[in-house]
Amino acid sequence: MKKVISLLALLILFLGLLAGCASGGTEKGNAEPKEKKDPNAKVSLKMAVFPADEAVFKQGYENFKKDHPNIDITFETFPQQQYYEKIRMQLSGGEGYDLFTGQLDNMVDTGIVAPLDQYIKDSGMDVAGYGSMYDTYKYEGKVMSLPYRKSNWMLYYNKTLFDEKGVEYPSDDMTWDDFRELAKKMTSGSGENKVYGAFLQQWPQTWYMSAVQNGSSVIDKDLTPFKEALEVRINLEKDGSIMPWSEQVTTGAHYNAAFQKGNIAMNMIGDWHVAQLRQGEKDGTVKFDWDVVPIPHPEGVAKNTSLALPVTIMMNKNTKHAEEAFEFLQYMSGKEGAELLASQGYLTGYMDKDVEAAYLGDGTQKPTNLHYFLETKEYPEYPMLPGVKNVVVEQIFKQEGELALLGQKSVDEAIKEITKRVKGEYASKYGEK
Amino acid sequence: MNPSKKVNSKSIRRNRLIAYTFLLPSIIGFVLFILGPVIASFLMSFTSWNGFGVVEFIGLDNYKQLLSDENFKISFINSILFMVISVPITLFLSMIIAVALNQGIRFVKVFRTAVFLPYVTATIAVAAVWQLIFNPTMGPINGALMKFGIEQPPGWLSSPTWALISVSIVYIWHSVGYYMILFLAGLQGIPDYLYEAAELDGAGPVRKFFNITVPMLSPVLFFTTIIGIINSFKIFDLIYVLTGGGPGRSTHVLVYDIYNTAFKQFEYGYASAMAYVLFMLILIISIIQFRGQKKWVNY
Repeated sequence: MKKVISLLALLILFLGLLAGCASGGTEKGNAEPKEKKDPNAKVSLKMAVFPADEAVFKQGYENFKKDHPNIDITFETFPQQQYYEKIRMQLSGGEGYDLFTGQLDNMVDTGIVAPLDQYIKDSGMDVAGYGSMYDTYKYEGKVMSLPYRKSNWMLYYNKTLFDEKGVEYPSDDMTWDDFRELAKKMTSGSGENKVYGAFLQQWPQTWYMSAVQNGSSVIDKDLTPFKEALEVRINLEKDGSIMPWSEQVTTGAHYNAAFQKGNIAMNMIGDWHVAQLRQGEKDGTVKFDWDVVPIPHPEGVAKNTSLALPVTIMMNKNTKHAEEAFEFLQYMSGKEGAELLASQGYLTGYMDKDVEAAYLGDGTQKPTNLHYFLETKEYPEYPMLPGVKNVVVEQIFKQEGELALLGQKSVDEAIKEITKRVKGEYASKYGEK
Repeated sequence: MNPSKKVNSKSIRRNRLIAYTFLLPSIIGFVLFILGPVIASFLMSFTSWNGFGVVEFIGLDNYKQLLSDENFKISFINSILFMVISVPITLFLSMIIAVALNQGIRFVKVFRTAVFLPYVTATIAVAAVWQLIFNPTMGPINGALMKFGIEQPPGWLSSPTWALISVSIVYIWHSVGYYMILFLAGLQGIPDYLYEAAELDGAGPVRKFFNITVPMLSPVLFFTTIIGIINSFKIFDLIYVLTGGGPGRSTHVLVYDIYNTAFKQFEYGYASAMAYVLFMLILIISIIQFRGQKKWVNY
């Protein structure tokens, strides 16, 4: 009996210790009184960034430091797949990142993302440059993050292949049916000489985008428009114009390597592919001429209607140096940062004449028709709400769509199942709170 | 057998104190890194928590929700299926191989190493290679099958019906070496005189196998069954790399579901509840096995 009691005592002690650790981290900081600070006092900040963007952020910081010698920022990054898992774990343990990049829907439920409206007002910054995204991505009426990248979708094509076949280049005003025909025309050969008309990465976005171009959203109650969208991809596979889904999945096919190989006529992917292809040219792996045109659109929808998914910078509301942190957030997502990012081929969240000029460069770099990116009308790839990406897109749409693409289920059945699951697994938990 | 029988001598108490002092480092480690988290996650399973802010106590709600959670149901069934497919075959194969390698054949060490090698190879590397082997159009398996005139060979990892079986094949191949070592150790503990006596009585090899080898191996067989079942329920890494739970949800197993819930959807409380259901499942199966062992295990 004695033993049991002492064991229990130990346990309680231990749990108390745990609880003490857990609550200590999150509560402090917030209530910090706003005293007048010495503007030249040394301040150090910590920021988590996406691995692909670390270099450009460091470069941006070097420029930023010239005007703000007292602000010291260290950057940390994690592999993309575990990025949120890692930074959330650290943030919940009280490890303070003052700033972090990412997509709001993955972070907003933590309650530690600071609303920026007051800071934006105080700084008097110009938000017109963010265009419609500034309002589209508000969360419960508040601005929680500012975008530095937009990730619009575009159609990349291999000019050399089109020349070889004597087929006219894709036009900037193709419907999905035109696209199907063109992809069929460009497909030929088998085995080593196989040429695919198109490549669609094995992400659900690549099949559901035509429904979104029509104004539908993945969390709609009525998902009928997605039937047609799913059929687009099934038809492409039926024609043999794209790699079969099963092969794509088992080989872990990747848009970048696949397109650079040179046997794919058209590749539908985001704006970041420009930078990848430019890099490929530098490394000598891209041995063909290429260009971009807007992605196909459904009948009756304006040309160059695309999907976008902003990548943003968020601020920790528990930061001790909110002003300084916002200073850098504003710098990177605003005009100056945008010019730097744009000059490196990023399609930035903030746009104005100068940023556009920086984006287009002096015209010596490919692609020739880069300007299409600046002219897109965009719909969000998915609504920026908690659970949409992690549950709806990456589980429900991926899993059920896959069954239809493998021919295990009919399109009708798949969309019916998706509708059911969105209701049961998403709407009941996250929706309409 | 009670060691704390009142022998109130000072030296015994001192001895005990010394023993505990030596044990202290591992006890601290155990409490901090195993017992603590185990209890913490048990308590967490009654809460709703995303890692931040207030931990909300919701009683049995998580467990109730599990009953109607279709994802959980699917992963539960998949886990059981996976266990049923992989454990018997693994144990059977590893026992056969162990018996074969226990004979005095040439190059026995080379063979033993070869069988054990997959087990010490990193799972990620194993998975990458098997992905190529399973490739439905260019992989060697389907290449061979098509040569033999099978026109529609299975899609392996890309087919919802075959995916779980494919993962099982890789899993069996990967773990046979480990169980083989355990069986080998068991075989070497069987005294030769039993076989000699049986031979004198005119027993053939089959008779010897079933009447001497199998009963003498039964403690090892018991141990490997328990460990094998537990390990098969814990499968995660192979699934993560080979299929990511797909196609559809055909390889969604319990641990994968737990991982998804905790680290992709950040529902730590709910994931803890799942983990405890898995724990109960393993516990019940193990208890049944321990009850049953009296009937067939010879010590």
